[in-house]
Amino acid sequence: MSSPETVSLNIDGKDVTVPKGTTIYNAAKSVGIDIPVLCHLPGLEPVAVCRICAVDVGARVYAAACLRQAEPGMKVKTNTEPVVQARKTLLELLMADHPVPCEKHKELGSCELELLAEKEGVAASKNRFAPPPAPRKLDHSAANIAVNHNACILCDRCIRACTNVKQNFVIGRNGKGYVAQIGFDNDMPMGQSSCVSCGECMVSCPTGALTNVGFEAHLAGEKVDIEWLSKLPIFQGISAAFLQRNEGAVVKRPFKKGEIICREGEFGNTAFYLLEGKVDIFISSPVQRATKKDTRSFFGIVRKMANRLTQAGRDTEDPERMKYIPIDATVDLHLGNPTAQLGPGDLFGEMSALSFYPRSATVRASEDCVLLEMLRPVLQILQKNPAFKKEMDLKYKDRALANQLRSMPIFGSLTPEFIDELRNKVELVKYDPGTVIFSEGDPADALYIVRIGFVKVLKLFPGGELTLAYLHRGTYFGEMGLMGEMVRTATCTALDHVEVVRIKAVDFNLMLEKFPQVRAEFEKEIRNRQEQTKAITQIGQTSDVTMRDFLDQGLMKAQSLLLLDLERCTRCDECVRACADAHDGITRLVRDGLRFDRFLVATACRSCTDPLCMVGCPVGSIRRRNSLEIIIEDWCVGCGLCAEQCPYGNINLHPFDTREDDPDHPGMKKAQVRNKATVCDLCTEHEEPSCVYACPHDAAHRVNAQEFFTRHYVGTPKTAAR
Amino acid sequence: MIVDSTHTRWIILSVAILVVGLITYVPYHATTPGGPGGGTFQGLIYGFVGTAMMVFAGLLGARKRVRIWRLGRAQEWVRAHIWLGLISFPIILFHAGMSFGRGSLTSVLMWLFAIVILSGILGLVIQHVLPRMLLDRVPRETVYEQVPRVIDQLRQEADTLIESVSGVIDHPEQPAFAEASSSPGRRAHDLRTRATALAVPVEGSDELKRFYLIEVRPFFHPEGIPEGELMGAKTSSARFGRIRLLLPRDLHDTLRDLETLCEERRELALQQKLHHWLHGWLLVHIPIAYALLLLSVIHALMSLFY
Repeated sequence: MSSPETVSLNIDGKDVTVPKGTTIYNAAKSVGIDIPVLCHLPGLEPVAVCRICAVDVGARVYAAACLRQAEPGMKVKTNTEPVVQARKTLLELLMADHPVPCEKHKELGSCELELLAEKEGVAASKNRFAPPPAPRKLDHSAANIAVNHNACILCDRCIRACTNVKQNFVIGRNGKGYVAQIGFDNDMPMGQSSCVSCGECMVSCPTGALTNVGFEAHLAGEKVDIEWLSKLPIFQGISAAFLQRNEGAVVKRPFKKGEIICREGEFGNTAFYLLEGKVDIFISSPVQRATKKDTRSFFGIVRKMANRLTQAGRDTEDPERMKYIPIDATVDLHLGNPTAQLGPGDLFGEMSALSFYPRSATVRASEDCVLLEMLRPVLQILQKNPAFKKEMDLKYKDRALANQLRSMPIFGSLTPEFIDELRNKVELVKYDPGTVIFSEGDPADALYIVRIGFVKVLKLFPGGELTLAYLHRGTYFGEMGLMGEMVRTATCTALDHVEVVRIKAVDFNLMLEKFPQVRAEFEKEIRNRQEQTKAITQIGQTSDVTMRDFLDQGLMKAQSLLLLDLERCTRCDECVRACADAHDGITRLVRDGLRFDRFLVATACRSCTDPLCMVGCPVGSIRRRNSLEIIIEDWCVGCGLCAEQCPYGNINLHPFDTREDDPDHPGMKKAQVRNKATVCDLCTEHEEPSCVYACPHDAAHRVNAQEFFTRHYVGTPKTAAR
Repeated sequence: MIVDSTHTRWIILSVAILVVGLITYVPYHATTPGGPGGGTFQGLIYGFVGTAMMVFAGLLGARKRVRIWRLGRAQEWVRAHIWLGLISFPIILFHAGMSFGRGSLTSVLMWLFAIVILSGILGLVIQHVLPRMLLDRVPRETVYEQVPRVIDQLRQEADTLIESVSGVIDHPEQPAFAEASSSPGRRAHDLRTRATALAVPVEGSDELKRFYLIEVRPFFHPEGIPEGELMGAKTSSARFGRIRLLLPRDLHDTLRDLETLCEERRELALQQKLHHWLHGWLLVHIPIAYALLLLSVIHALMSLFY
């Protein structure tokens, strides 16, 4: 009997009642009737392009079971002679265009088309249809995936995986009719396209059209025996065939005591799993400011004292600052002594392997050790392996969670006993790039702490959406909903491969109940965030100035522009010198840039509402203060990612001298030149930025772009200049 | 520094000081036997106040040395410098009994003072006019120190442009470009030159090539401000117009691009010229101001002790 919420139908003589909206395929599956499919894959949106799932619903034409929804009183026949005959004909047609056996079937016997053809008794030798007149092209341009268009049946599974699952939007269809085929970035060779080699298309492909070509030549190191690898606890449960095909993607790397395994700031694409021995993981860049001035000389000392008088360098006393440096490993580094030790069973380099971020720390063998170095496909398969995931989760909860909680000032008053209790209650949840963790308006059910990756926080307002923040490891979100009206106040999306610690609402509330100090801190933080959100949304909503230039130059997103009035500016460069004086000899502004009306938009941080520079920092050293300005903490490893990502060239890398371990002479140090990123910090320790303060001609102004130009053009009296 | 409404309080203060000075000077002048002079009590007061103002005005240089010290915004110092510096001149005149010096030292002092004041006024006028001129007439302004580099880049662009229609240009490298020859930009240019070596010269490009090598390329010399027909907008336009008549239609686009590069070079030359004026007056104002302060101290010591 159907109710408004359910539908009753009959499939092959069986009465079935399913929720409204259920497809015939799923309805049949629920009563054990297996309808064959090719283009349909659970988890992907059905498109019904192959029609293999055709069933008789009593209509003029057969219906695609994967797409057609069950209807009340519907009588479905899945296995009548005409239906089977139609399916066989479709299979014959598909097989005529398909090499038999294809690469996948030859190697692994897992081509879904050929398996289905065998099951349905469609023999390739008796195919009534002619093969294609000329073979289609092969594409071996990508490093790890081979494309064989001959084996492609245009099921679109790869397109949906690339577009909907990974949101990479690389694969599409090219051409029409007989010449139609899948294409990468409008028919570029795969290796030259914007494909990120995530492998999702390959995993989704039912045939041998997209296959793994292996990694034999890619990783240097000792080739591992697959049998030995399969016996390792973390690899148990992973198919030997997969390991065989990826044998080049995982290698054994022995290191002697003192050898550097990876170095902070360098780009990497592998993760390491420690099999034997111990390693030291540390940030070798001294936690200090980049400076050009010698503070040992007489004048240096005088300048240092003067800086104290003028409060330059107050960053180190910032109460918002974290006590631990988040790195790409199962531990965090203490700010005072940024070094830790990892032992057998530890994994590091996950973010580098998954999202190609620079190495966040230097790793050195503290004794002779053996590691497994692996590329992303292997790491991803490992992460899906329950045994490995359990081990890693346990390690994180045992070693890093407590540190991570303690490193956040807001949790400063939690007792070790409560953290122990919490440790067993939290969940570790992974999100693929682009996944919405929760949407604005959803019910609030948990607090999240970012463990890996970056989360984008968006808020909708009339006219569009506005990025409120990019959250990195060691930051949290979701507290506003929990402590407010139990509804999410913003949308949080995974920017890359994200893993979060999920603290359920009930545990969160218990924590607030037990620790009033934590509650007070959260309330304070919520007030700060509300003010920040209000400030940002006000900027977003002020749209009096809508000139094309204004938009083209990205001024709409600027919260604080350094403008030089060119009618007043005598080009004396006092602003640049003042900036250098305020920042240990290194200027953070260049008196050059785009012009807008009579103003020069100087090359200095704009404190954008959408601070792209904050995405990807491997050590979380770039952040936005509650007062909105962007700052780069002293533990920056100089990888330069923030500088690359700033669309306006407002972040610069400056070299400075340091002394580091000499790999050729263990125990000794040698002079090295390293880079650190610098960005305008608006001289927040002062009432006014030094550049503005030192301008003798009243030409330099730090302004809120929209307010300033609104006042300038429309005459609305608003206080904009800072 | 542009004199606008933000100067009002300094103007009022200066006028008030001047009025007080005048009000006290008139009876002083009328009642002092033998006329007013620097050695009288009132004269010394004028001298002290005037010198204090001069010293304060001179402290602007020191203030600029400690830019980030919170001693008041630099622009307030400049406003004070302008108005107190200006008003110090009549006060010193009161001190001198409205004479332009009675001895050689005092005469020198007064002349130096006049030069300082006049150069300061000139500087103020320049700061009102030239930044606007730079804004209007040099839309492609760059950082002053980068001008030679940008000119060299323009020359490289022009070379490439001409080589694209006339094949490799054979020219003796000028000594001024020697540094640039070893630069990465120059090396890239050399590579590009080799790459265009196979370009087939367009018919009629010889005239363009000759014009470029003889007249245009020297115009892209990175040092100094060039002279000649290409320096004036009108004369340059006329010269290009005459060359256009000699060239086939296929080369007109190239010639127009070359003319655009010349325009940019001309803008940079104008920027250099205006920049020199914008800052050149300080070469007179500052050394003479310091000389004035030094001689004033000597004058004060000599007057008090001898």
